[in-house]
Amino acid sequence: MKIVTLFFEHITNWGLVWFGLIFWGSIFNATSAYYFQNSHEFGFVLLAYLLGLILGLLAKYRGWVWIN
Amino acid sequence: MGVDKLANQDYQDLSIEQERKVARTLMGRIEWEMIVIGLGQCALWVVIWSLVVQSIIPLWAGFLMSTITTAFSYLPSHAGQHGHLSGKHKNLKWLNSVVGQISLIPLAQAHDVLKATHLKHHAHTNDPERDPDYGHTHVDHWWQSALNVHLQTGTDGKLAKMVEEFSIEDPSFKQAMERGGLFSMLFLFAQMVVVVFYPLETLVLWWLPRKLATSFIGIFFSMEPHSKLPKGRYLDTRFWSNGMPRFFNHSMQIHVMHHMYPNICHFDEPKAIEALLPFMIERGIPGADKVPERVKLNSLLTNFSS
Repeated sequence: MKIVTLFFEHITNWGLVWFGLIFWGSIFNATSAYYFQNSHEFGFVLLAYLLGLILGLLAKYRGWVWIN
Repeated sequence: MGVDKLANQDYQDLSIEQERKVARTLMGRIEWEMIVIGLGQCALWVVIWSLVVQSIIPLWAGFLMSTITTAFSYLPSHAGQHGHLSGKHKNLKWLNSVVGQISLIPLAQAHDVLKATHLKHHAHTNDPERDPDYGHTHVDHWWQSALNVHLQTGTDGKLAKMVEEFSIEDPSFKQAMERGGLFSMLFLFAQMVVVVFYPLETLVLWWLPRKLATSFIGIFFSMEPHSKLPKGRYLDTRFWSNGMPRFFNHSMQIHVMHHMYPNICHFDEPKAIEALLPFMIERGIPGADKVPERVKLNSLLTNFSS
């Protein structure tokens, strides 16, 4: 029960960051395929998800709830 | 006594008792139209996804279609929030939350959360400290409403403070928000799972249409009917027109009828206005004096300059 509570608490506080990382990271990654031939390389994938993470962190600390 | 008979009576008696007597004749039916729209638009949304994923239709066409269907997802939930989907049948009350929640899937919103905050909107319409819709309603331009409706739930936002206060003073509100919170979390995870497999489709068929639909709702359901009006049962909502057919505004031009009697179904509002117009004029409802005797699909258009 405690784990469930901690999980909900974590998602309440960090949900936007996870959303930025996974949702926007996936979209940046997919979008890069249209612009770069070697977008499947690890560096491109990492950069796309890093951008998503940064967007998520900005959203959390600046109140950008619209990203969700 | 039927509404037609009551409507044809001599309206010398414009008392609140007579007003309620007329209004009661229009309440209690099951709003089956909203059940059809709620389930239908969600089913169409799933079909659109399927057609795009199978490359039967292009992504841009899917986006256009999804935006249109998503724009229809809030009204059935709204009907459920007011119990219109079950009418006076207590054994069918489950329809309100089940259909209401299914209808909100394209909007990725929790029916319980929207119901709890919407009922507070009705209780405190146009109160800057208590109306959850205030932030995107009382603005100078439509685009401010379109943007603010997305910003209002920030952790330091005014709505967050209102929700905190309502939760302290109203246990049923708190329970509803907690119940709805589970659905909100479910939608958060659902989007994060789907986007891994279909990234651009999730963006263009789900995220973007629901953002556009939310802006549409903010402008037409909140700002236009309530902007810059004071508090008060007969003063907080107006009749309005923007030159578009009433259908494209989801009939929010006559939203004032809903605020006067929320138990009257959305699709019965035109005939309710026809029956209650003398009372509305008598009470000084903004714009009531410009409403024609017959409320047709686009009848308000010619009577309002803006």
